[in-house]
Amino acid sequence: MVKSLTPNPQKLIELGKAVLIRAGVLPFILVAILVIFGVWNPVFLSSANMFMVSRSATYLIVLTLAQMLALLSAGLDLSLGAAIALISVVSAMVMVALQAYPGVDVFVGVLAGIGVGALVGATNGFIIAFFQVSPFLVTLGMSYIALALSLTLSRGVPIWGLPGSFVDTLGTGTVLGVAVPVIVTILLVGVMYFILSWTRFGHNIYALGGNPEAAIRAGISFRRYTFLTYMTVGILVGLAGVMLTARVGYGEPTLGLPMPLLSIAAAVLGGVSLLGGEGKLYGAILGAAAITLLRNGMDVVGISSIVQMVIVGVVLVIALALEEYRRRLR
Amino acid sequence: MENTAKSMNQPEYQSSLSPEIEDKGYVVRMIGISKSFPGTKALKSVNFDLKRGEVHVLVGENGAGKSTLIKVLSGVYQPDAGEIYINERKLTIKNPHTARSEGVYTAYQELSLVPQMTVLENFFLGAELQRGLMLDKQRMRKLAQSAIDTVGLPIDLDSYIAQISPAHRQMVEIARHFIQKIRVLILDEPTSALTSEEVRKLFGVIKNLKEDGVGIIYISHRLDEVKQVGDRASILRDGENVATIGIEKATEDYLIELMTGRKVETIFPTVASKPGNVLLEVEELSTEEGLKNVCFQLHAGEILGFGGLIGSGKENIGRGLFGLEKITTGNIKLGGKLLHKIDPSHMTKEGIVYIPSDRHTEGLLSLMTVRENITTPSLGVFERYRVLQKGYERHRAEELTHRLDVRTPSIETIVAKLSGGNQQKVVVARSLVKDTKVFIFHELTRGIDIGTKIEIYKFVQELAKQGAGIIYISSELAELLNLTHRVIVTRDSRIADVFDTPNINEEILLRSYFGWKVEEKMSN
Amino acid sequence: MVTNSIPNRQRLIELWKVVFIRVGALPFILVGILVIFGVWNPAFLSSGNMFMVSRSATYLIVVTLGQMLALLSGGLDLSVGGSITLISVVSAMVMVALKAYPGVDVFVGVLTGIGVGALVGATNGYLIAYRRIAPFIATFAMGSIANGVCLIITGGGLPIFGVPGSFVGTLGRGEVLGVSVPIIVTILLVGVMYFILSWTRFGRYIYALGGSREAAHVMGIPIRRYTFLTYVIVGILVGLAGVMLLARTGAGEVTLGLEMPLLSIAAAVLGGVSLFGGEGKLYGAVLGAVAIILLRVGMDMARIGSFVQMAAVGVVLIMVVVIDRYRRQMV
Repeated sequence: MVKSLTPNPQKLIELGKAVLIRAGVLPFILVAILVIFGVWNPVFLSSANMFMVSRSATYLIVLTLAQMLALLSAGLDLSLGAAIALISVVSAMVMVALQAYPGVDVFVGVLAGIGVGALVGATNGFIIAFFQVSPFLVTLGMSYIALALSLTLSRGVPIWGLPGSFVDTLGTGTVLGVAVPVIVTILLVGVMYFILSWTRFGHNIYALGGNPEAAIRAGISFRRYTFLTYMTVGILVGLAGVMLTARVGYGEPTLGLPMPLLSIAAAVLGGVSLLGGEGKLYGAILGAAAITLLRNGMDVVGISSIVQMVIVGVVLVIALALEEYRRRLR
Repeated sequence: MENTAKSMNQPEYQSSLSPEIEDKGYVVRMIGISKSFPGTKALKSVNFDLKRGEVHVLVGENGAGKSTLIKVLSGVYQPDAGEIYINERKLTIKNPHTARSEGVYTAYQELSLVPQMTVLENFFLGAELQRGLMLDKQRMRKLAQSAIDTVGLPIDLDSYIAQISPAHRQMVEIARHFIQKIRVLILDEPTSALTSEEVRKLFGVIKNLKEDGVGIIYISHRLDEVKQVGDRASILRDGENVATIGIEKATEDYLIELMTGRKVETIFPTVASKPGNVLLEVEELSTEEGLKNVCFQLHAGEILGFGGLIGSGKENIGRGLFGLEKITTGNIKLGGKLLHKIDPSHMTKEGIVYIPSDRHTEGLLSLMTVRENITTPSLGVFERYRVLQKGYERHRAEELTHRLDVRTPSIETIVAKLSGGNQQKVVVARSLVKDTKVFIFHELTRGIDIGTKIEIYKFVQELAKQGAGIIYISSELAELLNLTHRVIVTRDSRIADVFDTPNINEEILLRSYFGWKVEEKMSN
Repeated sequence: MVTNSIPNRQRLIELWKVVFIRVGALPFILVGILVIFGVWNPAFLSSGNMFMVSRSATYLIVVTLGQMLALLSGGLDLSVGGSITLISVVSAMVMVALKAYPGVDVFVGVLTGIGVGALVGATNGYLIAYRRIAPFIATFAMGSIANGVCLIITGGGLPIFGVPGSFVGTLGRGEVLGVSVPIIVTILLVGVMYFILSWTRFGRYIYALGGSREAAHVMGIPIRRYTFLTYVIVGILVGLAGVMLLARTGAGEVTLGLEMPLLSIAAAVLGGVSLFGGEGKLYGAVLGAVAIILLRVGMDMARIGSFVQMAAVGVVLIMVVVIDRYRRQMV
């Protein structure tokens, strides 16, 4: 019998479709990134680069976790970029003000930063939960308010003079050879996993996002859980903001502004649904990793940051179109 | 009237009131329950009771008060007057939690499931078992698995609700209560999505529950089921419990009489039109949703009824024909001409109109006025050089509003403010702006009061007399038996039988629905 | 016997509620703005100031008209910011490039500008209608892309100078019969929009699409086609606004459109256009835009810092959204 080898392209397409349905859009994007940039400039795939990437990825991962929470509840948080700016400024100012008390200054400064994050989150959560209005517009408005506050407090200039201990440990420090931010991130991922899979809180968020009427009928309080969701988002953002500030080395009033788009892109790439109720933790992490790889790749081959934003936008749209296609295939 | 329940006797169902039940006492007694809402008296001093181990069927038209009554029992509403006794203890059921703690569980028609979560997660929605701060997944799994096994559901606890069939979803909705200690189980139209096989299984489960002493309140329109599984039936009309009868006495005609207060003969007009030439030919129509090789012909002036269990395919025929479901094979010819593009826009242009079963999401432009609802699909009629002629539009809307006797303060009223019956009339009115050749009515009279129904039946006959072809999809046997020229029965997504209406009765239709041996009453 | 003295306050509240439901929060907010800033600095209410306000308002009004269309159809358009900057830059570049052909340069430049707007709109429309991508993501991404492209072609944000004086003179500062040209253009556009929305099939279909998509589909309205067209028209309107802005400022600049998405949505929602689609009156959107501009100008005159202004806009947006919610509940 003649065994024809020609069905190959057909089979490849079928295989591709099967992978798409099962594993989502992400594998394709990841492979594409690795191949394109790896070929363009092999330095991209070097171990030194990969180490740096893993450290840079942490901030986006934490923020994507936060964004994922908001998305799961069928909302989203556009204020997390401006919130980071505010967190950076406030924590820096506090640390500089308490300069005279080493140790205390860092401690209080970090607390203040996380506190600001929590406050922004709580305000978002309050308005969204109690007035039942669009998270999109509320967090958008909040982003303006937070940015304005950040610029006003800092008068538009960076705040220098952060304690060395802060920058050294949290920013560039390592413990047993592993970068501190990475450790913090791993801990946070663990906590998030526990919350999402092993507590009522987590399940209730999925339920409220997936079918609010059913959730409410089952006795889940929309107000309480929506508020708690956004507040948790705020705390995560607080942590990310403080870590980012340590990394940059000064209080930066425009820190983090591209983050909303990036964290949404990362989450969506990772399979978190924009409509709520769907999304796996590892997906969000991989999505953040993919976006970080993408940006790093673009850095390595020398694409300017302006173009980078464009490309991220394009990738997001492609990912969404693929996701829609996947849904239709199922 | 012969006892149709006995004549359909299949060994696994016993529907007579056995002496054991008589002795067991009442698990629920509701005395003198009244409940009003702004503008309506939903329940007027209703008495209702439920014996242990009994299936008590609740029937009534939409708006008669059935769902209000069960919502009072399950704590969603508080009655304005009256008393409730559960196991002879007088209780005030303040909220759904109280009801549940008393063992009263409700499985609703609009499913309370989260599609993106697994079956297991849905079982314990809002009430997960914990071990300290953590969820006790092991225990939950065990309980859920045993509930699933009891019901005989062949699904995996870890599959997502979105992935399983609508029928299985309905079963999950019911089964998830089985992990609790149930005293009273309220089932609201539980079989709407089930196939006949699954209905059988459900009835088996109900039988087991009965043996355990659970009292079951079963709401349904479907006479066939009601007779299979019920022990007693209570009929509600306009907020009152008109009668509580043993199931043997519950024939369709009697139930209709009780539900509407009128005799069947006065409800349906005589079939006046005579079918003429072939208008619509459907050949080998198959859709993605599962319809297989559907063939039939519709004549001008003919009212062609479509019946069958839900899930049997009759709903899909209407939608498939109109292009709302993806067609994989098949041809549709209108007046001999082959129709090439089958989608709502083109079908409307050809003069074929589809009136959907769910007017709220698919039928009405709820934010718009009566006039706009009537004219929007046919704006071409009112355009001159691309500009809308508003005077003409208003005139036509007024005309049609009068013709159908739509009760509304003005044509500029927002349709959401009208009653269900008048809303439906508006939906029908818009198919009259242009010359419509074929009407596809899908559950035309769902959720409408009897007065409006009568008007609509007369109207449908008129349309047929004027030469239109009418496809009438309905789950009400009485409509199919009294309103149509022929009835096509669907089963398992295919056409099972085609009947001439004068030759059949309720029994024959029901046998056909379930696929049992069909004998025609009179051979022709 | 029975006097009506107690119900007086009751009746006032009832009256207020009825007015509020009918016309929304806007009239109250407008009055509030005029009063607060008028008292703070009486020059605010001068005719010279009002004239300037009306001229500044035109751009926002035009963009809000477009935003209103997108909202009515059940979506929204976040690309208007990036799009406007791109339009002004491309338009300026074309005009500078064709400097040698006076008259033609302006003409082609304007056409190109509008064309770019339409192109962005068409892309939005395609993604939303045919690829079923959520409007806010599609337009958000498009806006970022447009912004990025704009930054690239200006080499990182350098303004494009050298726009022909004739262009700035007529479209920007010109007057016809004592009325400023941008105002005339805006009035014309409002008229056209009114006609489209109230007197054509297109307008009716948009309201239907946005209000009850499924029902519109069953009725035979070609959903995808009309959704696509909606975004194209939004794009054309944005194109016009971009060209007008260019004439006003005289240079193709990157910062022109930064707040447009936010402001135009706030203006529309303030004017009673529902975020959920299918509801909204034209005059409301126009007045909403006017209110926003009044707010900005008022804050400028009261010497409120630009950062605080940014915060104020954020606060207004949130307030507007909350108020809209209550209004819908009351109906």
